[in-house]
Amino acid sequence: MRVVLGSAHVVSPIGEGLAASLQRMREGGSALQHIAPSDGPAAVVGKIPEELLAPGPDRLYHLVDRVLGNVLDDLDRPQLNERWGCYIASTKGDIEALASADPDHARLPFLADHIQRKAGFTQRPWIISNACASGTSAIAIAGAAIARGHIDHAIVLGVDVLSRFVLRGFQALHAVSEAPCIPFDAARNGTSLGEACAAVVLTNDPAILKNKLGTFLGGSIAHDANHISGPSRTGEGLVRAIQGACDKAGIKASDIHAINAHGTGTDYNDGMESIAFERCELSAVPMSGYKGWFGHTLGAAGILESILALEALDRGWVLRNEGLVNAGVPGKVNALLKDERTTGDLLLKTSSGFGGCNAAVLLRAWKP
Amino acid sequence: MQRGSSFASMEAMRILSTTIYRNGRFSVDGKELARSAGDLDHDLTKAWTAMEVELPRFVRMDRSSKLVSIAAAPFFAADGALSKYPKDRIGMVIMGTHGSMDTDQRYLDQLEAENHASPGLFVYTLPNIAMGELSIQHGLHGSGLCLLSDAPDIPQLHDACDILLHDHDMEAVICGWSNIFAGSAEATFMVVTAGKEGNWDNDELERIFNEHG
Repeated sequence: MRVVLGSAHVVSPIGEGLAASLQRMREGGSALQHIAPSDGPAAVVGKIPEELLAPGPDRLYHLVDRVLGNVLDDLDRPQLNERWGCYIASTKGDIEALASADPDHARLPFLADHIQRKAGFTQRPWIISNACASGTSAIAIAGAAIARGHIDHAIVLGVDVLSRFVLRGFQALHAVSEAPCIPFDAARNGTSLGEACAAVVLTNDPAILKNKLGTFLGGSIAHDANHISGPSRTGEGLVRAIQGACDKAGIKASDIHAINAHGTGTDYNDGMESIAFERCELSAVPMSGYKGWFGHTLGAAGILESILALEALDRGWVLRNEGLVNAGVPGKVNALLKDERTTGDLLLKTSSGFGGCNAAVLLRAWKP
Repeated sequence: MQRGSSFASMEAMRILSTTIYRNGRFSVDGKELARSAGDLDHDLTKAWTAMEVELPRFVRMDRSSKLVSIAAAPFFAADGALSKYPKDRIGMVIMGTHGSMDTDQRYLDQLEAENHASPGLFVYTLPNIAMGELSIQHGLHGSGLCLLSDAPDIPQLHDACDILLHDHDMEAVICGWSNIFAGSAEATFMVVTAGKEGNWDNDELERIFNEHG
């Protein structure tokens, strides 16, 4: 059975929509910016422009509504009956509500209720919270649910917004850079936090999609079983996730045309990924991470980056690692310094997160 | 709701063992292992020590991780339901309402009161960290899903196990509900495998998972 992706929409620090975001990445530099909070250390973050998302306590909900509305408008048959699933990927949802008058509204099921009502799903949405691997995990699970015949169509939506809660935590772990993050660079010094909402439809009936983006070939999730807040030095979980996805998709490593890595810009993560890619015999494959443009968007990252990497492939590009000057990682990888033309269409997307969770999906760009 | 089991692609699933923790009382396949009525931290420690498992990192874990560790530990005993399964073929599906909010609240209280972000607390402020702890304790490299829902969603758990068993090639799945918030803790965990003689009954599981007291 063929599972097709399409009718996607994104809002992130580089703007709104697939075509505009890709153009922004091709022609512009990092959207990461310096901020100076009154109650904490200065930082560099990726923030959604205020003209797209006004400040206020409900900005998470406005962001979700905007993305969801665009996705629904891009469907030919938007009645979301029992054959539709909804998969929400988020790490912290509306965590700022924890300090409000209604702290229980910080729980992720509260966000899921909002999405179910807003979109009119008859089924209760799934909420997948596999740390920074949430988004890629959600694509893998939604694709499998359609392939298994549980459902026919799914909306997969990832969202996380900037919060003092998370920024201060990453700063306390010395995991954020004082300058914009540069994934895979020898001088990388930590990540930069970002925020985004990204959503894509997966379906066994491409006729419902006004815009097609690619096909889902297979996915996998694996654990390092090593450390809760640091990746395995050998890349064990990521190697297993990549091999699992390849097995599921029935493809070999040598078939892959492009890798969209997690690429946080931390020493450990990027080093671990390079080792895993080399172990999987992917050293020659053009590889990039997108966080240099918009930062680490946590639960949204896997979905946002998959959509943008597919859009790039659809238009014949594998994009660079924004900001990369000297690649310096322990494993042998082909980290792109410049955007490259390609005729290839097979994308490996990977994500890794706290808890030692790794996810990988294989997607084929539509290329009509 | 019997969604799922009517579809042709669904294969039978067999539950091998069940553990239940409700506010100090811990039972394995109906047999009570521990009973305690102190505060939450005291009760969790008492349930853990009743199993006589050596694990130095237990005292360092947050409460959510402790609860998950307790609920799954009997499956790994010498005669436990998972003792014969290869470690990299054991998957995890763990659902709850509040995720890491018990620890989120403690981390935030300290941030607000002292303007200090504790790295030791922060690393536990993700719902899936308890699943990560479980994977480390038992060397589980397999697939895992941390799900959130306001109540135990049995059809979702069913479909998640089906995907892990048949799409992610797991041989057994630790599937359960775990919730800890506002001084109250409850967990219901099962070992689920693929098998010809299925015994997954949504109505029966709704009753078991929603039984309180």
